[in-house]
Amino acid sequence: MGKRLSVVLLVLLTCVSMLTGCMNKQAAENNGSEKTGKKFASLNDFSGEVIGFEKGASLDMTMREIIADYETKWMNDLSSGIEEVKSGKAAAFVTDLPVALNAVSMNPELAVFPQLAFEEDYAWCFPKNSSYLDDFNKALAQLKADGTLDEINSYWIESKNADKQLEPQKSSGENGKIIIGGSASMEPMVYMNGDGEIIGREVAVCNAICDILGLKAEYVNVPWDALAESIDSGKIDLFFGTVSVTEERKQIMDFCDTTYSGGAALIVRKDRIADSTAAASVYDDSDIEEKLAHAKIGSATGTLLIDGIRENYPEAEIVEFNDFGNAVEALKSNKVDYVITSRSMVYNYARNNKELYVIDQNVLHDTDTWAYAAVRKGYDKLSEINEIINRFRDDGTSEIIESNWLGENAPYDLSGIPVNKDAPKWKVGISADSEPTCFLNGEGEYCGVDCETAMRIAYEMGMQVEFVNMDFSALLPALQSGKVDFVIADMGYTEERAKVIDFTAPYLDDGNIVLAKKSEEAVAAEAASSVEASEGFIDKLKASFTRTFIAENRWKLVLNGLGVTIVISLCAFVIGSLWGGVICAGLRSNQKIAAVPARIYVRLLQGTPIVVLLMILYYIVFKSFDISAVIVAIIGFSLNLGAYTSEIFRTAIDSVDKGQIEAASAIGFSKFKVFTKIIFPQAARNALPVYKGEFISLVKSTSIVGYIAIQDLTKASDIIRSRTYEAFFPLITTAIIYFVVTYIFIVLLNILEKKIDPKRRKRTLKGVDIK
Amino acid sequence: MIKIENLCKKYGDFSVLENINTEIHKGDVVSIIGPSGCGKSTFIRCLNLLEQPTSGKIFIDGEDILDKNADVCKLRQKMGMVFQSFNLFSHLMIIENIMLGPVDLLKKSRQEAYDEGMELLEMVGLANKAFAYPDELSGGQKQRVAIARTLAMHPDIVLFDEPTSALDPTMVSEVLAVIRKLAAKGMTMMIVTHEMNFAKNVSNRIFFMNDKGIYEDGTPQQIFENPKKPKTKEFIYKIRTFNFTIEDKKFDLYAFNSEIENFLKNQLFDEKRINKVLLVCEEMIYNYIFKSFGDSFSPVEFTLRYSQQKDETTLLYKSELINKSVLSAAEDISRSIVDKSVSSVECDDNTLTVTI
Repeated sequence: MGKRLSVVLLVLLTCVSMLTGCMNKQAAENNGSEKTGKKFASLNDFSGEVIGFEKGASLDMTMREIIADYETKWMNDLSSGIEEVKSGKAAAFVTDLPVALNAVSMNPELAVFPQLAFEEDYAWCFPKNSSYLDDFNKALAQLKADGTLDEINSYWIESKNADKQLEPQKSSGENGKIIIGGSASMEPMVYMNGDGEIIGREVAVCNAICDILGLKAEYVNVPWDALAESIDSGKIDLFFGTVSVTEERKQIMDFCDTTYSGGAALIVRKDRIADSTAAASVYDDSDIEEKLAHAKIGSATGTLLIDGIRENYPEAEIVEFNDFGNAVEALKSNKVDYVITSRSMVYNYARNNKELYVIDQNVLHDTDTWAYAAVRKGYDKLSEINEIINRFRDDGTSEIIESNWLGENAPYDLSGIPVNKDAPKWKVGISADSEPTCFLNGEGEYCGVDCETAMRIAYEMGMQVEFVNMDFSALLPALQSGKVDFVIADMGYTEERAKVIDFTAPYLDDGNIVLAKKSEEAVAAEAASSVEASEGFIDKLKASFTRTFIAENRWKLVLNGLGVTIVISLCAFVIGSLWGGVICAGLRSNQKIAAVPARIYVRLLQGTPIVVLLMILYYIVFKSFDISAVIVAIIGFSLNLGAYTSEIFRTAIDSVDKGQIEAASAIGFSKFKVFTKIIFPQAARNALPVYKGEFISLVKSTSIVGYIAIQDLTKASDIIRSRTYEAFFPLITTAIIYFVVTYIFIVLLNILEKKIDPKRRKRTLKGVDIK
Repeated sequence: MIKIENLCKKYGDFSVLENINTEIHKGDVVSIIGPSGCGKSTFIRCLNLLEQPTSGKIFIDGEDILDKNADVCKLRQKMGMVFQSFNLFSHLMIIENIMLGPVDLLKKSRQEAYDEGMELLEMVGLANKAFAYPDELSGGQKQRVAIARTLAMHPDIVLFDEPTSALDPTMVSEVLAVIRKLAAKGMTMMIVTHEMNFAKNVSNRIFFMNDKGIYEDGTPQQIFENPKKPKTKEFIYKIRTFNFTIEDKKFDLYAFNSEIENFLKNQLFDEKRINKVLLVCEEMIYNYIFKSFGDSFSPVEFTLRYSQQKDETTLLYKSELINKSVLSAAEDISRSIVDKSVSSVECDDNTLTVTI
């Protein structure tokens, strides 16, 4: 009956945990899927809609590549386009981003669609063989270099001033006059003010160029669709504005260098956006630094980012995590407001977590974001390594490495890395818990920027790498104790670290970048329109399961980890029990010379956390021994178990009725025989219930061996977590596996307990003929 | 068989036994009696080294068990011990309890040990409990098994450390019956006991222990009927005497009666006889003594003594205010009741003596 009940409970437990895990996902879904009138959540939603363009604009052609089937409507100018959108006759009007932003700031019922149509560079048009082209390019370059362009952008595009003033030209036109045409309908780039003057950002830039060239500029209003003719006819010397550089146009005119980098945006009615606040939140990062100052910021312990955050935002509450994976989890569950991480890793997190978005701004000022490798003090190969690293930076190897792992479609190709299989081994300490800097792939190979860099350095030195994977906090101690010769782990430079180890030259510029969580509505909106929304609960579960176990044969990792856990548990149990017996003999001895050390041992071991004990053994006691970490773990757990079991045995022995011991002595049994025949059978039965519990505790406490670089079941789940960015499946599964393993052992021990219960024995005697 | 020379046992500075010298011969059944705390159990436990003597010699069949080179285990096998708290091995069946020693120490075959064990169990009347566990037996049964277990080792002498003290009266007799049987078979035994009648009937020697040693050693007749030494006398009388002080006219008569009843039961009085004594006693107190006191009162020391030899019960009442007038204080009815039952009533020196 008891077994049936246990199975039922096990099933219930699994179901409950699954339900709670998926309730979160359900909540997010339920929030947004009511579609009252067609709302646009992504560009694809504009399929089949009417989209307006200014006559002559080339934006249409580019747009066709993005949304195949929409209906183009040509508008005379910006303002008619706006009217069209307001009245609902057109779903959107496409124009350049600054123009769009400006337009919506004056028309509150309109908004810029959150997704940009595409990004573009713009330049000005000159007639073929224009004499002005080269001069303009040079002047343009000058303006870019000396910051004038930035100033102009900042005034005309970024500030929200409604009444902008154009500074008059400085030049008096000693080198001549130049006539410039443009469509004065694109505020704030080129437009007319109240007095009928043509002003705008483009005008300001042009004026600045003309000043440099000593030309007097005269502006005429030329509509977009007259661009080609006006150039051809020679009526204007150049056509300016946000002109897209297209092949067609290049055939009939020349473009100067890029005058502006922007993009095409859609102006839509606010109430047609899937959620109007969604638009705001994505771009609302202009005051990110103010927000950070009073927010809860998460980052990884021991990284320079933490120091940088503290310096820049002393009022903020900093929450430290073991690694970025955990910080991102906290962000997702709203335990922190922002996560500051490094550039190399951030896109991975954002890509795999649709509810997060990236604020690409340097928010930590005066913080050194370079990554350094480390060696122990006085290491003889340091200068050689530095020379190699610097060479890599110069000869492009660094870029090869970074492009292999960083960015949107990094190939993750290990085959191209040179390795000398016969070379002597070089022990390199890494922390394989962050993609893409250092992680494990499905075949159990170490990958990432750090790993490739180490491998290439080793190759240059005529060696091959032997990776030793451990917790980040364990790396420097391992380096100091000589367990590894080289540590490369996206580590930043700090004074404290430099005191105990030597840093190499920097090998990677990591930058810093902010991850934030989108509001609930934005998440819902995206979820409602994206493909994922059509997946049911079961499908989601299937997908999670596949990612966690099937993909890249991750189940092998789990199985290996489980094997390690069981091996350590069983060995430590046997050795620890025997050792406990020895200590118990000491505790019960009448000789002070045995009893006192035994008592001290028990107090000491009971008072030391097992994690600390393991680390002391691994990094201090067995520092200079080339001993497998698994053996160290078995020793550590045996020592610890011995202390507890010795007390269990002692109490069990003392609990045997003294009278029976006297009776046995009186019969003539020697002390030894009294122990084996009378005390032990009864003590063992008394001890067994508590003893069972000790074994179960032991199995679970082996989950901390990751600290000394052992890959057990818990560490395997950590690794999977860091690759799939999911917390739910790996963690729940790990818990279930531990539960099942310990349950099996409990059942076995219960059977043993029943077997040795005297009352359950058959009431017969062996070897005796009962007449 | 056992010769004890100058046995001493001290606990720290406190000396329990001093210079005990005695000899025990084959076939002796020795009862060891004495007041509580006089070292009876300690003495017997020293013999098989459950207590370690401080000094002295103990010769078991000529071998000194206290000698450094002595094989204590072997010597212990010659001496069986039965404990007050039975001490059966709780993880073994009854028959296994009995077989354990013979198989392991005497190197008997299991079949042989089994057969002998069953014989012993039959002798103590528990053959049907062979496959039971100790916690399934009553106290009396356990003690009988303990005796069987001891006998299985074929000891030369069996030591009993208060074998019936933990048993209630109904079970005491069953155990005493077994011990009696053993004695009849000629087994040498030493029994520490409080069962005075039993000691008298079964043993051929009595050790009265007091003053850190064997105070007086004699036959039951000598010790119980004619104790020579003062403390022995005191003890014997004490065990034959009941004392009570009546502090108040309103004393608790029921408690008083109950105590007398218990005392007399121990003397193996039947109910009729007990009631007679109680009746006389009550009459004397209320209708003779209190009557004669009138309104005044002084404490009365009451003593009840029984002499087995003369089969005579004596009631003594001593008080300041008692004098000859007591005899005439009673009324006729009382007087007739009393006169029927008693053989004599006397009074002198503040003491009223009634003999039944």
